[in-house]
Amino acid sequence: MSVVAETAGAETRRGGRRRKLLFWLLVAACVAVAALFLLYLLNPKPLPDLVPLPGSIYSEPHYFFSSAKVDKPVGVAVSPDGRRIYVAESGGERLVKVLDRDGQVIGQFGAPGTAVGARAPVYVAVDQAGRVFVSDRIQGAILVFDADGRFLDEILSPTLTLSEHIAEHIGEVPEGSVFWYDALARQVHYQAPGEGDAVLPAPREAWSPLGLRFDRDGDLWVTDVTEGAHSVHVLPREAFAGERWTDFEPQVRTIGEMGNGPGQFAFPNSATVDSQGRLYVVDGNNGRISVWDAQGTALYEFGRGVGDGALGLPRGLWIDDKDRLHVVDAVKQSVKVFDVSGDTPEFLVSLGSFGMGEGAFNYPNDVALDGSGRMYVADRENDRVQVWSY
Amino acid sequence: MRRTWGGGLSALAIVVLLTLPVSAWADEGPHGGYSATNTPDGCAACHRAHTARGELLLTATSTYDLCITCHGPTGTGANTDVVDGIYVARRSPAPSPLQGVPEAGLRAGGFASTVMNTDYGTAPGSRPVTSSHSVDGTPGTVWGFGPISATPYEGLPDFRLDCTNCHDPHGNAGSLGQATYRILRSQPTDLGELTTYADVADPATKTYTIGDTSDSVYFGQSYGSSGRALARFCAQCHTRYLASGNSMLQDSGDAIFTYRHPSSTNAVNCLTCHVAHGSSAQMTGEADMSAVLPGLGVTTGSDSALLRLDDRGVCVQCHEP
Repeated sequence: MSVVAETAGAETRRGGRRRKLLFWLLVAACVAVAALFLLYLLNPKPLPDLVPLPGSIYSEPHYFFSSAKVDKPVGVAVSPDGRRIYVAESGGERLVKVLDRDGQVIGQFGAPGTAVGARAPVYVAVDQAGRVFVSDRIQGAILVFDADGRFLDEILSPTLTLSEHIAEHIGEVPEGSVFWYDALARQVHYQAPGEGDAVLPAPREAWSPLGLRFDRDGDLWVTDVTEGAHSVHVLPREAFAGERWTDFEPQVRTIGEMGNGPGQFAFPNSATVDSQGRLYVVDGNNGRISVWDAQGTALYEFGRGVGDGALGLPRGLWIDDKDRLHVVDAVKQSVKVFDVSGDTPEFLVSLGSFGMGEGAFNYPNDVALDGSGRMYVADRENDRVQVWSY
Repeated sequence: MRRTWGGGLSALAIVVLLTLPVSAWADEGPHGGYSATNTPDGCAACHRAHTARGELLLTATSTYDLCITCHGPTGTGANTDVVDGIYVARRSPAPSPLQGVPEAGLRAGGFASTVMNTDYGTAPGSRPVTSSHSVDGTPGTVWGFGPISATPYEGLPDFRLDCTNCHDPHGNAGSLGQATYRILRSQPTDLGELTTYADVADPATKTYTIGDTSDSVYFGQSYGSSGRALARFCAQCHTRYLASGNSMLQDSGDAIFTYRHPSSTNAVNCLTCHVAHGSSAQMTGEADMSAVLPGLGVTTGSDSALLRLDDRGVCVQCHEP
């Protein structure tokens, strides 16, 4: 046997051993992966609770992802636990879509008893109990649903609910009764359990609620665009005890009047308060933010002028726990962020620009943040909700 | 010295013009009322000087999208919802005749749905449109466009219309800078076929809405002297529909629009029978024009041709049997 043949044989044996070793390593890896998968299946763990992320007030959010298709979204709100996002659509069937944190549609609901052209959900707010409040421009009311979209009641004016209006006509509103308001036909429909439809006259009181935000104390801030009387109301949290409000007499406080001077509004679109109790009102058609102290005295306006911090047609707003004011500007196609923790607002950053790509907006209309630093923007003409993250 | 005085007076005039509010006729909202002190911010709602994304320095690439940001179903910046054809406001105690009737249908109808009572029977409710002017960029035919012609020509095809062809968002849209009905231009842009301006005066007694659709309010209200101007306005594009009182007896000389119903008299104008934006009228039976129209070669289906009433109900409103 030659030396060459001996060397070739040794290499063949070494090659065989290597292949065997690789084979068993592969088998071991497969077993390990299968074991881990099995372990995961046998021990499902819920998602960890959402916690605020650390970070400076000057940190900037970045585009994260976009939701599944929603039809011309105009209002957005997040449940207190951050796991559900409620989106009001102005296109299609004009429903409120429920999204999960991955942006997938998991449910939908809308104003009961109405045709598509008879409802126009705009802004949404969620209270600490998870109930969903939806302003409707055509209904001229705030419709209230539970977290799963079951209709509860409707606020027809600052001091009148639909259940209260019905109770005034028939007495008690028994459990299990069904009712709705058809604003176009000016009719209230009522069905007692096991009985047919009864038509009641429409209420005489009216308002035009638009922007909705709950503050840290659970009070509801409502902008009202009733013709000739644009203003802001705050409805105290005590008004919303229980599921239906047949004795609805909240101590409503009203702020501002219609106009373009100091302390006046033209189509106020949204209002909320900061940690110091100061009120910020998006004064839409005046293109500015109106600021008031906790006692209801007008302090100043900002947002007019030139530069990145200037506003065009501001719409929805949100103040986070660092007192950063986020304002959506529908025609500047962006979200403007201001630091309002000091005596005067400081412009921080303008997020987004016009377009259809990632992080670009096409007539955005509303913004909401959750406790973990996620920012949701209703991107109307792009038919999506954008998710940004601090 | 005279030149100095002249220069001084010119400068003074410019200063006065720039500092005075423009007009007591200023139309509502952002559509007018400009002045040197508030205009720059007001302009920025829709325009950019150096970073515009649309023609005419608009912030938007789509005029329609920009308009419905306020005038769409959300009503976030206006009470006139032209998509649903409804005036969405509730009223404070003091109504104004210039304002609309709350929750009532717009006189022009809507682009997606309307609140009309097209059969004079059932209560007005929201119904989808069966015909509308296309203002979202969809190409359409401008019927009757062009001069009287012995050569058959039904109209201009593939025209893209948007809101600003007819309305001037800056207000004071008359040929002399005066306010006009619904901020209508004195001459539509891009297609103005007539040489004369059509200034449609602002009739102070008209509201934006139809308050009572259960009677003949459509027909009982004359647009008076504005009626003929309205007809001339529509005829800037639908040129060959413009017809005087005896046009049903006279051969116009046109191959298609030969004998025509009067459309420009004190009693009748285009809006007597049609709405401007969109109608939900139902066309059934003989009124269902699913057949090919003689000379036009098109199938219109159940298109309601922007008529106010079902079938051809508009005929008997004047020609009672």
